Amino acid sequence: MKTGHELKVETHYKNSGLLEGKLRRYILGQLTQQDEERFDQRLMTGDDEFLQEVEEITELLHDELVEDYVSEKLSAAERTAFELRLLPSRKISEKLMLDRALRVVARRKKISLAEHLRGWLHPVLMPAPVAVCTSVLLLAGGWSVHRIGLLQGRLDEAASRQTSLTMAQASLRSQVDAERQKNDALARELVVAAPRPADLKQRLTSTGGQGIVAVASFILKPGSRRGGGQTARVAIGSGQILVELKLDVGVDEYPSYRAALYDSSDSELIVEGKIRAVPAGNSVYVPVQLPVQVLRADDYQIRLSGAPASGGFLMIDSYPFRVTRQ
Amino acid sequence: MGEPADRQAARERELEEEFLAFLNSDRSEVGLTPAEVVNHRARRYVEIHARLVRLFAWRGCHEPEFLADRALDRAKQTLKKRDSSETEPRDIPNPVGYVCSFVRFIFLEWLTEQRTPELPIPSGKSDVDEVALDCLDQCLEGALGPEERKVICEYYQGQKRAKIDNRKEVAGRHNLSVNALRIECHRIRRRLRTCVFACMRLKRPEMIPGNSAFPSEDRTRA
Repeated sequence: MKTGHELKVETHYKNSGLLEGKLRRYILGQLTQQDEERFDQRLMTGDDEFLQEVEEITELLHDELVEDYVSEKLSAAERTAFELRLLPSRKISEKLMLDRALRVVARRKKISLAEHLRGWLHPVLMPAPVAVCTSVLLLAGGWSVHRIGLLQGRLDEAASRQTSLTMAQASLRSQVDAERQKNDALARELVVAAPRPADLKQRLTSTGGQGIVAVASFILKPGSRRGGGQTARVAIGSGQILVELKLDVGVDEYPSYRAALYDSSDSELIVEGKIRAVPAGNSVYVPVQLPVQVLRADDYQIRLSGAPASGGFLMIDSYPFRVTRQ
Repeated sequence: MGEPADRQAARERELEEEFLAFLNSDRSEVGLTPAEVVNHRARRYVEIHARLVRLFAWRGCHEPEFLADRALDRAKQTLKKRDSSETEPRDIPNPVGYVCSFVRFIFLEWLTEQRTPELPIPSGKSDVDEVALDCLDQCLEGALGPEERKVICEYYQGQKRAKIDNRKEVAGRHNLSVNALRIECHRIRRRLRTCVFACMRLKRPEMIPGNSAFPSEDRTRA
Protein backbone atom coordinates (compact mmCIF):
# COMPACT_ATOMS: atom_id res chain seq x y z
CA MET A 1 0.00 0.00 0.00
CA LYS A 2 1.55 3.29 -0.98
CA THR A 3 -1.22 5.84 -0.53
CA GLY A 4 -1.66 7.91 2.63
CA HIS A 5 0.10 6.32 5.55
CA GLU A 6 2.54 3.79 4.32
CA LEU A 7 2.08 0.59 6.28
CA LYS A 8 5.32 -0.94 7.41
CA VAL A 9 5.39 -4.68 7.69
CA GLU A 10 8.42 -6.30 9.20
CA THR A 11 9.38 -9.77 8.15
CA HIS A 12 10.94 -11.22 11.28
CA TYR A 13 7.73 -13.18 11.97
CA LYS A 14 8.29 -15.31 8.88
CA ASN A 15 10.17 -18.08 10.64
CA SER A 16 8.16 -17.90 13.81
CA GLY A 17 5.46 -20.40 12.94
CA LEU A 18 6.72 -23.05 15.35
CA LEU A 19 7.21 -20.59 18.16
CA GLU A 20 3.76 -19.13 17.54
CA GLY A 21 2.13 -22.57 17.70
CA LYS A 22 3.91 -23.34 20.93
CA LEU A 23 3.05 -19.98 22.45
CA ARG A 24 -0.62 -20.45 21.58
CA ARG A 25 -0.67 -23.80 23.39
CA TYR A 26 1.29 -22.23 26.26
CA ILE A 27 -1.20 -19.40 26.66
CA LEU A 28 -4.13 -21.84 26.57
CA GLY A 29 -2.41 -24.19 29.03
CA GLN A 30 -2.26 -27.05 26.55
CA LEU A 31 1.39 -28.03 27.08
CA THR A 32 2.29 -30.86 29.41
CA GLN A 33 3.55 -29.78 32.80
CA GLN A 34 7.09 -30.77 31.88
CA ASP A 35 6.97 -28.91 28.54
CA GLU A 36 5.45 -25.89 30.22
CA GLU A 37 8.24 -25.71 32.79
CA ARG A 38 10.89 -26.16 30.10
CA PHE A 39 9.27 -23.43 28.03
CA ASP A 40 9.12 -21.14 31.08
CA GLN A 41 12.85 -21.65 31.52
CA ARG A 42 13.48 -20.87 27.88
CA LEU A 43 11.48 -17.66 28.23
CA MET A 44 13.35 -16.77 31.42
CA THR A 45 16.79 -17.23 29.88
CA GLY A 46 16.27 -16.07 26.28
CA ASP A 47 18.15 -13.09 24.89
CA ASP A 48 16.50 -9.70 24.38
CA GLU A 49 15.79 -10.25 20.70
CA PHE A 50 14.01 -13.52 21.42
CA LEU A 51 12.00 -11.95 24.25
CA GLN A 52 10.99 -9.05 22.02
CA GLU A 53 9.74 -11.51 19.43
CA VAL A 54 7.85 -13.51 22.05
CA GLU A 55 6.34 -10.27 23.35
CA GLU A 56 5.01 -9.28 19.94
CA ILE A 57 3.73 -12.73 19.02
CA THR A 58 2.03 -13.09 22.40
CA GLU A 59 0.24 -9.76 22.00
CA LEU A 60 -0.88 -10.82 18.55
CA LEU A 61 -2.08 -14.19 19.85
CA HIS A 62 -4.04 -12.56 22.67
CA ASP A 63 -5.80 -10.39 20.07
CA GLU A 64 -6.54 -13.33 17.82
CA LEU A 65 -7.75 -15.59 20.59
CA VAL A 66 -10.16 -12.82 21.57
CA GLU A 67 -11.31 -12.54 17.97
CA ASP A 68 -11.71 -16.30 17.60
CA TYR A 69 -13.59 -16.43 20.89
CA VAL A 70 -16.04 -13.73 19.82
CA SER A 71 -16.61 -15.28 16.41
CA GLU A 72 -16.93 -18.76 17.97
CA LYS A 73 -13.99 -20.19 16.04
CA LEU A 74 -12.33 -21.85 19.03
CA SER A 75 -12.76 -25.58 19.60
CA ALA A 76 -14.66 -26.62 22.72
CA ALA A 77 -11.40 -27.33 24.58
CA GLU A 78 -9.84 -24.02 23.49
CA ARG A 79 -12.99 -22.14 24.44
CA THR A 80 -13.00 -23.64 27.92
CA ALA A 81 -9.29 -22.89 28.31
CA PHE A 82 -9.85 -19.31 27.12
CA GLU A 83 -12.67 -18.78 29.61
CA LEU A 84 -10.68 -20.25 32.48
CA ARG A 85 -7.27 -18.73 31.81
CA LEU A 86 -7.79 -15.51 29.86
CA LEU A 87 -11.28 -14.21 30.50
CA PRO A 88 -10.52 -13.28 34.13
CA SER A 89 -7.87 -10.82 32.90
CA ARG A 90 -8.83 -7.14 32.67
CA LYS A 91 -6.43 -6.72 29.78
CA ILE A 92 -8.36 -9.36 27.85
CA SER A 93 -11.67 -7.67 28.81
CA GLU A 94 -10.41 -4.49 27.14
CA LYS A 95 -9.50 -6.41 24.04
CA LEU A 96 -12.92 -8.08 23.97
CA MET A 97 -14.64 -4.72 24.23
CA LEU A 98 -12.58 -3.25 21.38
CA ASP A 99 -13.11 -6.31 19.17
CA ARG A 100 -16.87 -6.09 19.59
CA ALA A 101 -16.91 -2.35 18.97
CA LEU A 102 -14.86 -2.81 15.79
CA ARG A 103 -17.36 -5.36 14.51
CA VAL A 104 -20.25 -2.96 15.10
CA VAL A 105 -18.43 -0.12 13.34
CA ALA A 106 -17.45 -2.34 10.41
CA ARG A 107 -21.11 -3.43 10.01
CA ARG A 108 -22.36 0.14 10.19
CA LYS A 109 -19.97 1.13 7.45
CA LYS A 110 -21.23 -1.78 5.34
CA ILE A 111 -24.87 -0.74 5.93
CA SER A 112 -24.15 2.85 4.94
CA LEU A 113 -22.60 1.57 1.72
CA ALA A 114 -25.75 -0.50 0.99
CA GLU A 115 -27.93 2.58 1.62
CA HIS A 116 -25.77 4.61 -0.71
CA LEU A 117 -26.28 2.04 -3.47
CA ARG A 118 -30.05 1.94 -2.88
CA GLY A 119 -30.20 5.74 -3.17
CA TRP A 120 -28.36 5.55 -6.47
CA LEU A 121 -30.87 2.98 -7.83
CA HIS A 122 -33.94 4.93 -6.67
CA PRO A 123 -34.51 7.03 -9.85
CA VAL A 124 -34.52 3.84 -11.89
CA LEU A 125 -37.37 2.46 -9.82
CA MET A 126 -39.60 5.57 -10.31
CA PRO A 127 -42.06 4.62 -13.07
CA ALA A 128 -42.20 7.33 -15.72
CA PRO A 129 -45.78 7.42 -17.21
CA VAL A 130 -44.60 7.15 -20.84
CA ALA A 131 -42.32 4.20 -20.19
CA VAL A 132 -44.45 1.96 -17.92
CA CYS A 133 -44.89 -0.81 -20.46
CA THR A 134 -41.35 -0.75 -21.77
CA SER A 135 -39.78 -0.75 -18.26
CA VAL A 136 -41.55 -3.85 -16.88
CA LEU A 137 -38.43 -5.96 -17.15
CA LEU A 138 -36.28 -3.20 -15.74
CA LEU A 139 -38.76 -2.74 -12.89
CA ALA A 140 -38.71 -6.44 -12.07
CA GLY A 141 -34.94 -6.43 -12.03
CA GLY A 142 -34.81 -3.27 -9.96
CA TRP A 143 -37.38 -4.65 -7.54
CA SER A 144 -35.22 -7.73 -7.02
CA VAL A 145 -32.18 -5.59 -6.31
CA HIS A 146 -34.25 -3.46 -3.95
CA ARG A 147 -35.64 -6.52 -2.09
CA ILE A 148 -32.19 -8.05 -1.80
CA GLY A 149 -30.87 -4.77 -0.48
CA LEU A 150 -33.68 -4.57 2.09
CA LEU A 151 -33.18 -8.16 3.21
CA GLN A 152 -29.45 -7.60 3.45
CA GLY A 153 -30.11 -4.46 5.45
CA ARG A 154 -32.38 -6.39 7.86
CA LEU A 155 -29.84 -9.15 8.20
CA ASP A 156 -27.11 -6.63 8.94
CA GLU A 157 -29.39 -4.82 11.37
CA ALA A 158 -30.16 -8.06 13.21
CA ALA A 159 -26.48 -8.92 13.34
CA SER A 160 -25.71 -5.42 14.57
CA ARG A 161 -28.40 -5.72 17.27
CA GLN A 162 -26.94 -9.03 18.38
CA THR A 163 -23.50 -7.49 18.63
CA SER A 164 -24.91 -4.56 20.58
CA LEU A 165 -26.34 -7.00 23.10
CA THR A 166 -22.99 -8.69 23.52
CA MET A 167 -21.37 -5.24 23.76
CA ALA A 168 -23.79 -4.31 26.51
CA GLN A 169 -22.89 -7.51 28.31
CA ALA A 170 -19.22 -6.68 27.98
CA SER A 171 -19.94 -3.19 29.31
CA LEU A 172 -21.67 -4.58 32.35
CA ARG A 173 -18.69 -6.79 32.91
CA SER A 174 -16.50 -3.70 32.67
CA GLN A 175 -18.69 -1.91 35.20
CA VAL A 176 -18.25 -4.79 37.60
CA ASP A 177 -14.49 -4.65 36.94
CA ALA A 178 -14.54 -0.88 37.43
CA GLU A 179 -16.30 -1.33 40.78
CA ARG A 180 -13.66 -3.83 41.76
CA GLN A 181 -10.96 -1.43 40.65
CA LYS A 182 -12.54 1.40 42.61
CA ASN A 183 -12.44 -0.81 45.68
CA ASP A 184 -8.83 -1.64 44.94
CA ALA A 185 -7.97 2.06 44.51
CA LEU A 186 -9.63 2.91 47.83
CA ALA A 187 -7.71 0.12 49.46
CA ARG A 188 -4.49 1.44 47.91
CA GLU A 189 -5.17 4.92 49.23
CA LEU A 190 -5.67 3.44 52.64
CA VAL A 191 -2.44 1.53 52.26
CA VAL A 192 -0.54 4.71 51.36
CA ALA A 193 -1.79 6.33 54.55
CA ALA A 194 -1.47 3.37 56.87
CA PRO A 195 0.85 0.42 57.39
CA ARG A 196 0.17 -2.39 54.98
CA PRO A 197 -1.83 -5.32 56.29
CA ALA A 198 0.66 -7.76 54.80
CA ASP A 199 3.50 -6.00 56.57
CA LEU A 200 1.62 -5.84 59.81
CA LYS A 201 0.92 -9.53 59.48
CA GLN A 202 4.57 -10.18 58.81
CA ARG A 203 5.59 -8.13 61.82
CA LEU A 204 3.13 -9.89 64.05
CA THR A 205 3.94 -13.38 62.90
CA SER A 206 7.67 -13.05 62.61
CA THR A 207 8.74 -10.65 65.28
CA GLY A 208 6.02 -10.23 67.78
CA GLY A 209 5.36 -6.60 66.87
CA GLN A 210 8.82 -5.05 66.60
CA GLY A 211 10.15 -6.51 63.41
CA ILE A 212 10.98 -5.79 59.84
CA VAL A 213 9.14 -3.91 57.11
CA ALA A 214 10.17 -5.80 53.96
CA VAL A 215 8.95 -3.22 51.44
CA ALA A 216 8.75 0.50 52.13
CA SER A 217 6.66 2.71 49.89
CA PHE A 218 7.19 6.41 49.05
CA ILE A 219 5.45 8.84 46.75
CA LEU A 220 7.75 11.14 44.75
CA LYS A 221 6.83 14.35 42.93
CA PRO A 222 8.79 15.29 39.83
CA GLY A 223 11.70 17.70 40.26
CA SER A 224 10.00 20.31 38.09
CA ARG A 225 6.91 20.34 40.33
CA ARG A 226 8.58 20.36 43.71
CA GLY A 227 8.39 23.68 45.48
CA GLY A 228 11.13 25.21 47.65
CA GLY A 229 13.89 23.01 46.34
CA GLN A 230 13.50 20.48 49.14
CA THR A 231 14.48 16.93 48.23
CA ALA A 232 12.21 14.04 49.19
CA ARG A 233 13.65 11.78 51.87
CA VAL A 234 13.51 8.03 51.67
CA ALA A 235 14.30 6.40 54.97
CA ILE A 236 15.50 2.81 54.87
CA GLY A 237 15.33 0.70 57.98
CA SER A 238 17.28 -2.43 58.72
CA GLY A 239 15.71 -5.56 57.35
CA GLN A 240 14.05 -3.85 54.40
CA ILE A 241 14.44 -5.63 51.11
CA LEU A 242 12.79 -3.35 48.60
CA VAL A 243 11.90 0.29 48.36
CA GLU A 244 8.90 1.07 46.25
CA LEU A 245 8.81 4.56 44.78
CA LYS A 246 5.58 5.79 43.28
CA LEU A 247 6.45 8.45 40.73
CA ASP A 248 3.59 10.90 40.38
CA VAL A 249 3.10 11.52 36.65
CA GLY A 250 -0.23 13.33 36.85
CA VAL A 251 -1.63 11.93 33.62
CA ASP A 252 -1.01 8.51 32.06
CA GLU A 253 0.07 9.46 28.55
CA TYR A 254 2.12 6.47 27.45
CA PRO A 255 1.52 2.75 27.16
CA SER A 256 4.61 2.11 29.27
CA TYR A 257 7.46 3.90 31.00
CA ARG A 258 11.18 3.48 31.59
CA ALA A 259 12.87 4.50 34.83
CA ALA A 260 16.63 4.88 35.27
CA LEU A 261 18.22 5.30 38.70
CA TYR A 262 21.23 7.67 38.97
CA ASP A 263 23.40 8.34 42.00
CA SER A 264 24.94 11.67 43.03
CA SER A 265 27.92 11.17 40.68
CA ASP A 266 25.42 10.73 37.82
CA SER A 267 26.23 7.06 37.31
CA GLU A 268 23.38 4.96 36.03
CA LEU A 269 22.70 2.13 38.48
CA ILE A 270 19.54 0.40 37.34
CA VAL A 271 17.21 0.74 34.38
CA GLU A 272 13.75 -0.75 34.39
CA GLY A 273 11.49 -0.65 31.34
CA LYS A 274 7.93 -1.53 30.34
CA ILE A 275 6.45 -0.23 33.56
CA ARG A 276 2.76 0.52 33.47
CA ALA A 277 1.28 3.52 35.24
CA VAL A 278 -1.24 2.88 37.98
CA PRO A 279 -4.15 5.18 38.80
CA ALA A 280 -4.72 5.76 42.51
CA GLY A 281 -7.36 8.23 43.59
CA ASN A 282 -6.88 11.47 41.65
CA SER A 283 -3.29 10.73 40.70
CA VAL A 284 -1.43 8.40 38.41
CA TYR A 285 1.75 6.73 39.61
CA VAL A 286 4.52 4.84 37.94
CA PRO A 287 5.65 2.25 40.49
CA VAL A 288 9.39 1.49 40.64
CA GLN A 289 10.83 -1.10 42.99
CA LEU A 290 14.47 -0.87 44.01
CA PRO A 291 16.44 -3.39 46.05
CA VAL A 292 17.86 -1.66 49.13
CA GLN A 293 21.27 -3.16 48.44
CA VAL A 294 21.86 -0.63 45.68
CA LEU A 295 20.91 2.35 47.84
CA ARG A 296 23.35 4.00 50.24
CA ALA A 297 22.92 7.19 52.23
CA ASP A 298 23.25 9.50 49.24
CA ASP A 299 21.31 11.70 46.81
CA TYR A 300 19.67 9.93 43.88
CA GLN A 301 17.35 10.71 41.07
CA ILE A 302 15.12 8.66 38.85
CA ARG A 303 14.85 9.83 35.27
CA LEU A 304 11.50 8.80 33.91
CA SER A 305 10.81 8.45 30.19
CA GLY A 306 7.60 7.56 28.40
CA ALA A 307 7.59 4.89 25.71
CA PRO A 308 5.12 5.98 23.01
CA ALA A 309 3.46 3.31 20.87
CA SER A 310 5.43 4.56 17.87
CA GLY A 311 8.71 3.54 19.55
CA GLY A 312 11.63 5.30 21.26
CA PHE A 313 11.56 7.11 24.59
CA LEU A 314 10.57 10.63 25.57
CA MET A 315 12.01 12.13 28.74
CA ILE A 316 9.23 13.12 31.15
CA ASP A 317 10.93 14.37 34.29
CA SER A 318 13.45 13.52 36.98
CA TYR A 319 12.53 12.57 40.55
CA PRO A 320 15.24 13.48 43.03
CA PHE A 321 15.33 11.88 46.47
CA ARG A 322 17.73 11.48 49.35
CA VAL A 323 18.28 8.13 51.03
CA THR A 324 18.82 8.03 54.75
CA ARG A 325 19.66 4.87 56.63
CA GLN A 326 18.06 4.30 60.01
CA MET B 1 8.03 -18.71 73.85
CA GLY B 2 9.49 -17.31 70.62
CA GLU B 3 13.05 -16.20 70.26
CA PRO B 4 13.94 -12.55 70.80
CA ALA B 5 12.84 -10.16 68.04
CA ASP B 6 16.32 -8.95 67.12
CA ARG B 7 17.55 -12.53 66.72
CA GLN B 8 14.57 -13.34 64.53
CA ALA B 9 15.19 -10.20 62.45
CA ALA B 10 18.84 -11.14 62.03
CA ARG B 11 17.81 -14.57 60.81
CA GLU B 12 15.37 -13.04 58.35
CA ARG B 13 18.12 -10.80 56.99
CA GLU B 14 20.42 -13.77 56.73
CA LEU B 15 17.75 -15.70 54.84
CA GLU B 16 17.29 -12.78 52.43
CA GLU B 17 21.00 -12.60 51.76
CA GLU B 18 21.22 -16.35 51.27
CA PHE B 19 18.38 -16.22 48.80
CA LEU B 20 20.01 -13.40 46.81
CA ALA B 21 23.26 -15.39 46.80
CA PHE B 22 21.37 -18.48 45.64
CA LEU B 23 19.73 -16.59 42.76
CA ASN B 24 23.16 -15.48 41.58
CA SER B 25 24.83 -18.85 42.23
CA ASP B 26 25.08 -19.75 38.52
CA ARG B 27 27.25 -16.68 37.90
CA SER B 28 30.84 -16.24 38.92
CA GLU B 29 31.61 -13.74 41.68
CA VAL B 30 35.34 -14.38 41.61
CA GLY B 31 37.42 -11.22 41.81
CA LEU B 32 34.55 -8.99 42.86
CA THR B 33 34.73 -6.73 45.88
CA PRO B 34 32.08 -7.31 48.56
CA ALA B 35 30.25 -4.17 47.40
CA GLU B 36 30.29 -5.41 43.81
CA VAL B 37 28.97 -8.78 44.92
CA VAL B 38 26.05 -7.10 46.65
CA ASN B 39 25.40 -5.00 43.58
CA HIS B 40 25.54 -8.01 41.24
CA ARG B 41 23.17 -10.01 43.40
CA ALA B 42 20.70 -7.16 43.64
CA ARG B 43 20.76 -6.68 39.88
CA ARG B 44 20.23 -10.41 39.38
CA TYR B 45 17.20 -10.31 41.69
CA VAL B 46 15.71 -7.38 39.78
CA GLU B 47 16.43 -9.09 36.46
CA ILE B 48 14.75 -12.36 37.48
CA HIS B 49 11.80 -10.43 38.90
CA ALA B 50 11.41 -8.49 35.64
CA ARG B 51 11.49 -11.69 33.60
CA LEU B 52 8.89 -13.28 35.84
CA VAL B 53 6.67 -10.23 35.33
CA ARG B 54 6.83 -10.73 31.56
CA LEU B 55 6.18 -14.44 31.92
CA PHE B 56 2.99 -13.90 33.90
CA ALA B 57 1.87 -11.13 31.55
CA TRP B 58 2.30 -13.46 28.57
CA ARG B 59 0.10 -15.98 30.32
CA GLY B 60 -2.61 -13.29 30.30
CA CYS B 61 -2.40 -12.25 33.95
CA HIS B 62 -3.34 -8.61 34.61
CA GLU B 63 -1.30 -8.28 37.81
CA PRO B 64 2.00 -9.87 36.82
CA GLU B 65 4.09 -7.95 39.39
CA PHE B 66 2.02 -9.43 42.17
CA LEU B 67 2.58 -12.96 40.89
CA ALA B 68 6.31 -12.35 40.35
CA ASP B 69 6.61 -11.26 43.99
CA ARG B 70 4.66 -14.29 45.07
CA ALA B 71 6.80 -16.70 43.00
CA LEU B 72 10.06 -15.37 44.44
CA ASP B 73 8.68 -15.40 47.94
CA ARG B 74 7.48 -18.99 47.53
CA ALA B 75 10.86 -20.03 46.15
CA LYS B 76 12.59 -18.42 49.13
CA GLN B 77 10.33 -20.05 51.69
CA THR B 78 10.60 -23.47 50.05
CA LEU B 79 14.35 -23.17 49.93
CA LYS B 80 14.37 -22.33 53.62
CA LYS B 81 12.24 -25.39 54.47
CA ARG B 82 14.39 -27.56 52.28
CA ASP B 83 17.55 -26.36 53.98
CA SER B 84 16.18 -26.97 57.45
CA SER B 85 14.77 -30.42 56.67
CA GLU B 86 17.58 -31.93 54.58
CA THR B 87 20.70 -33.29 56.13
CA GLU B 88 22.71 -33.10 52.90
CA PRO B 89 23.82 -29.71 51.63
CA ARG B 90 21.66 -27.99 49.05
CA ASP B 91 22.67 -28.70 45.45
CA ILE B 92 20.55 -26.78 42.95
CA PRO B 93 22.71 -25.94 39.95
CA ASN B 94 20.05 -23.92 38.13
CA PRO B 95 18.44 -21.20 40.26
CA VAL B 96 16.33 -19.89 37.37
CA GLY B 97 14.98 -23.40 36.76
CA TYR B 98 14.19 -23.68 40.45
CA VAL B 99 12.20 -20.43 40.43
CA CYS B 100 10.47 -21.50 37.20
CA SER B 101 9.14 -24.62 38.89
CA PHE B 102 6.86 -22.35 40.95
CA VAL B 103 5.50 -20.30 38.05
CA ARG B 104 2.86 -22.75 36.86
CA PHE B 105 1.42 -23.38 40.31
CA ILE B 106 1.40 -19.72 41.26
CA PHE B 107 -0.48 -18.92 38.07
CA LEU B 108 -3.03 -21.72 38.59
CA GLU B 109 -3.47 -20.60 42.19
CA TRP B 110 -4.13 -17.05 40.98
CA LEU B 111 -6.69 -18.28 38.45
CA THR B 112 -8.68 -20.00 41.18
CA GLU B 113 -8.74 -16.71 43.11
CA GLN B 114 -10.28 -14.83 40.21
CA ARG B 115 -14.00 -14.41 40.16
CA THR B 116 -15.76 -14.01 36.83
CA PRO B 117 -19.10 -12.38 37.58
CA GLU B 118 -22.27 -13.86 36.10
CA LEU B 119 -23.83 -11.02 34.16
CA PRO B 120 -27.53 -10.64 33.34
CA ILE B 121 -28.35 -10.33 29.64
CA PRO B 122 -29.49 -6.73 29.17
CA SER B 123 -32.84 -6.02 27.50
CA GLY B 124 -31.55 -3.26 25.26
CA LYS B 125 -28.60 -1.20 24.24
CA SER B 126 -26.99 0.68 27.11
CA ASP B 127 -25.50 4.16 26.76
CA VAL B 128 -22.14 2.71 27.79
CA ASP B 129 -21.94 0.98 24.42
CA GLU B 130 -22.42 4.30 22.74
CA VAL B 131 -19.52 5.80 24.70
CA ALA B 132 -17.24 3.00 23.49
CA LEU B 133 -18.51 3.34 19.94
CA ASP B 134 -18.20 7.13 19.98
CA CYS B 135 -14.64 6.83 21.21
CA LEU B 136 -13.86 4.24 18.57
CA ASP B 137 -15.31 6.51 15.87
CA GLN B 138 -13.21 9.40 17.14
CA CYS B 139 -10.07 7.29 17.25
CA LEU B 140 -10.64 5.85 13.79
CA GLU B 141 -10.80 9.41 12.50
CA GLY B 142 -8.12 10.97 14.68
CA ALA B 143 -5.54 8.30 15.39
CA LEU B 144 -5.38 6.53 12.04
CA GLY B 145 -4.59 7.57 8.51
CA PRO B 146 -7.26 6.99 5.82
CA GLU B 147 -5.53 3.89 4.51
CA GLU B 148 -5.24 2.30 7.96
CA ARG B 149 -8.86 3.17 8.73
CA LYS B 150 -9.96 1.50 5.53
CA VAL B 151 -7.85 -1.61 6.21
CA ILE B 152 -9.13 -2.18 9.75
CA CYS B 153 -12.79 -1.68 8.78
CA GLU B 154 -12.43 -4.00 5.81
CA TYR B 155 -10.65 -6.55 7.99
CA TYR B 156 -13.72 -6.93 10.19
CA GLN B 157 -16.23 -7.41 7.34
CA GLY B 158 -17.96 -10.76 6.83
CA GLN B 159 -18.33 -13.84 8.94
CA LYS B 160 -16.83 -17.33 8.90
CA ARG B 161 -15.90 -18.43 5.36
CA ALA B 162 -16.83 -15.04 3.87
CA LYS B 163 -14.50 -13.37 6.37
CA ILE B 164 -11.58 -15.58 5.35
CA ASP B 165 -12.19 -14.85 1.67
CA ASN B 166 -12.65 -11.19 2.45
CA ARG B 167 -9.28 -11.01 4.21
CA LYS B 168 -7.54 -12.62 1.26
CA GLU B 169 -9.13 -10.00 -0.97
CA VAL B 170 -8.18 -7.14 1.35
CA ALA B 171 -4.59 -8.39 1.56
CA GLY B 172 -4.44 -8.65 -2.23
CA ARG B 173 -5.84 -5.15 -2.70
CA HIS B 174 -3.16 -3.70 -0.42
CA ASN B 175 -0.31 -5.80 -1.83
CA LEU B 176 0.22 -7.66 1.43
CA SER B 177 0.36 -11.32 2.32
CA VAL B 178 -2.47 -12.51 4.59
CA ASN B 179 0.05 -12.83 7.43
CA ALA B 180 1.40 -9.32 6.89
CA LEU B 181 -2.17 -8.01 6.90
CA ARG B 182 -2.81 -9.84 10.15
CA ILE B 183 0.26 -8.25 11.79
CA GLU B 184 -0.60 -4.82 10.44
CA CYS B 185 -4.14 -5.05 11.80
CA HIS B 186 -2.74 -6.11 15.16
CA ARG B 187 -0.62 -2.96 15.24
CA ILE B 188 -3.55 -0.79 14.23
CA ARG B 189 -5.71 -2.42 16.93
CA ARG B 190 -3.00 -1.76 19.52
CA ARG B 191 -3.00 1.95 18.67
CA LEU B 192 -6.76 2.03 18.63
CA ARG B 193 -6.96 0.35 22.02
CA THR B 194 -4.69 2.95 23.60
CA CYS B 195 -6.69 5.76 22.03
CA VAL B 196 -10.15 4.29 22.78
CA PHE B 197 -9.42 3.64 26.44
CA ALA B 198 -7.80 7.05 26.89
CA CYS B 199 -10.97 8.59 25.41
CA MET B 200 -13.24 6.44 27.57
CA ARG B 201 -11.23 7.38 30.65
CA LEU B 202 -12.09 11.00 29.94
CA LYS B 203 -15.74 10.41 29.14
CA ARG B 204 -16.57 7.68 31.62
CA PRO B 205 -13.68 6.90 33.95
CA GLU B 206 -15.78 4.51 36.01
CA MET B 207 -16.26 2.06 33.17
CA ILE B 208 -12.59 1.38 32.42
CA PRO B 209 -11.45 -2.08 33.45
CA GLY B 210 -8.83 -1.75 36.18
CA ASN B 211 -5.22 -1.08 35.48
CA SER B 212 -3.18 -4.18 35.90
CA ALA B 213 0.20 -3.27 37.15
CA PHE B 214 -0.17 -2.31 40.77
CA PRO B 215 2.02 -4.29 43.13
CA SER B 216 0.72 -7.10 45.15
CA GLU B 217 0.53 -5.90 48.70
CA ASP B 218 -1.68 -3.02 47.74
CA ARG B 219 -4.25 -5.37 46.30
CA THR B 220 -7.27 -6.07 48.41
CA ARG B 221 -9.83 -8.72 47.69
CA ALA B 222 -13.18 -9.07 49.30
